[in-house]
Amino acid sequence: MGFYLRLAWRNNLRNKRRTFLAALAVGLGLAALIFTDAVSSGMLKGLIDTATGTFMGQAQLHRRGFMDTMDPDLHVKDGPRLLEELRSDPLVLRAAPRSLSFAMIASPTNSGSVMLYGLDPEAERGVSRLEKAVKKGDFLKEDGDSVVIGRRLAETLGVEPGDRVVITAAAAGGGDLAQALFRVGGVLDSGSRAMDSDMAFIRLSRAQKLLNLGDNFHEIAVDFRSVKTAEDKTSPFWRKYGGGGNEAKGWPELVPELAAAKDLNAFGIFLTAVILSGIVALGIMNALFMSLYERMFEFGVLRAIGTRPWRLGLMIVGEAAVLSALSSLLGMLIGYAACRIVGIHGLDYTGVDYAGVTMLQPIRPVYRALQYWLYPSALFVFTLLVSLYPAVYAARMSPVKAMRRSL
Amino acid sequence: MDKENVIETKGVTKTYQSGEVKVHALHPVDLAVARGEFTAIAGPSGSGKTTLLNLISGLDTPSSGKVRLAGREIGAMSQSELSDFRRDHIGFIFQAYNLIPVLTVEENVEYVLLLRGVPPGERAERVKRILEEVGLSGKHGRFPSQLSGGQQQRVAIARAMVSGPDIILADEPTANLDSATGAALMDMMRGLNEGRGMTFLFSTHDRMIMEKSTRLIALKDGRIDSDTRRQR
Repeated sequence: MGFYLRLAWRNNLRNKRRTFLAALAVGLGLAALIFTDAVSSGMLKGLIDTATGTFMGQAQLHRRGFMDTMDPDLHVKDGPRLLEELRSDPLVLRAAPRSLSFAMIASPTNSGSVMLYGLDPEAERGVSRLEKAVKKGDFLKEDGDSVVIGRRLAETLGVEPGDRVVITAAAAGGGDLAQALFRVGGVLDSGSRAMDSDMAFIRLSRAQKLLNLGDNFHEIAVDFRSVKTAEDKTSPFWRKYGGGGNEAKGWPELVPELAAAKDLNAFGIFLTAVILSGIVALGIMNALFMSLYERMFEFGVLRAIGTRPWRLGLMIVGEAAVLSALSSLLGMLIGYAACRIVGIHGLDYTGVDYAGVTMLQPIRPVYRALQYWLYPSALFVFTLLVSLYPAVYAARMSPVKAMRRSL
Repeated sequence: MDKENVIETKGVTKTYQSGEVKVHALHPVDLAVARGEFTAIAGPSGSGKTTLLNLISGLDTPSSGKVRLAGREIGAMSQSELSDFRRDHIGFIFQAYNLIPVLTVEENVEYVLLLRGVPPGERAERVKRILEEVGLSGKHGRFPSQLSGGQQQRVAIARAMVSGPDIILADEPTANLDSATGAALMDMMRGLNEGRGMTFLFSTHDRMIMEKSTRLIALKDGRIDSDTRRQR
């Protein structure tokens, strides 16, 4: 085996420039695949992080039917007990209770409709990044009548921290309208259009009082110890918390556009791989056939002195294997280097909405193990398969014809 | 057929199709070469020397007739069987040496033994011995491009002989060599022929080879024109 590997290696080195160019062409294909995977994975990761980390959480619990009707009476069934249970669940990292209600917010100069959230600032700190997004004022400090609104809404209402606004919302227990005076405690700038213009946040205890909820709430936002739990339909979490009148949904169900984008991304990578494979196949075959035609006489001699046809074919496959190994090495180096370079500043698409989520961070390539073992391995196997064509061609060539032909 | 004959052809012909025209490269040839003979097939270009050699070695198939080598009819063999047969019974020496340029002298010679599945230790020993015999000790690590034409042909001879074949087929072995080197190589091959009893069959138009052969078969227009033996 060592003899044949040595032979394959040296045959590849016969025409160093051609071998290098062929390896570079194939390597660039692999590098492109690695880079495409890394960037699209980075984009998805950024979108999922933004969607789940900014406010939504990786999963949510609601009373069944609440998200369709927003009926204030449909609070999480047995909410306080479930909240405690969630907080002691080994799968769960954090859980934050919230109330939700459609509301009107009015300043002396303007008014607007908002989704009014009642939040527990302490619990919220780990689940969402609201506090970090506050640019003016503070995030729901002890003052029970404080409201935090987005920058765009503040501009619409013409208010600043310290100004007063009136909030009107439908309360539980019959749907009577409840109204209260609040003071703008903070203005946030999250970068998300929806959050900055259509949401208002007050303390959960104040919301429970305003909406007549008692100690109940409408939503529990959950972060898992592993984000993969949110995508794992078979996790016992969903069965455990999704029954008894409540429903539990992970981010793929909460933001189906994003889940679809993830599937589309996987398909895009597959398509890229297929196209690049075609290019790689042609590159490898071209290099092998060039080498084969150049050495036709030599193959004839090898057959003449007793080399079996299949062994001659195996030599071609061996050369392809060496070329593929070189190409993989080059491809991984180039792919890694490209990812590192792009990773320094990232690709800046901040503010762009994609799949219903606003990109808040530059896209940075994500390194995944499969980029450096699956893709090169697939390339290697694919190269061997492609090399079978010239290998069979060489094996079937009659020795005397081979010795008559040369370039 | 005579048991002592290592090469036998019976009514072997070769016809090529060149467009609409049929070219008769070889008319029916009957030939018998006994074990240990040192035979030259001579004739001008196009006389059919190389064609006959190709048919005898199984590199090409005759249009009609039969070829027996070392007691076996080769016409019915598959390509793999022919490869194995050549590996085990025939050594080739070509006009242009045709060594594998990326293999060293030692590896070029070793390759034939590798094909036969000879264990590494024995391979090394046999390669060393044959290289000494052809006067190439100390050159084993060199590549063909680092050798002179004569030295390369010595490597080709070593490669042809290392497995101890029954027959050595040599196609114009001195054509690319100067006369002194060619003569030295012929003397060497003659020595190996006498020492080991191997059968040599040359195709040539080199007068020196014809003179050093013990049998001279002259081909003309694809037919045997004359067949003469002489004393060693």
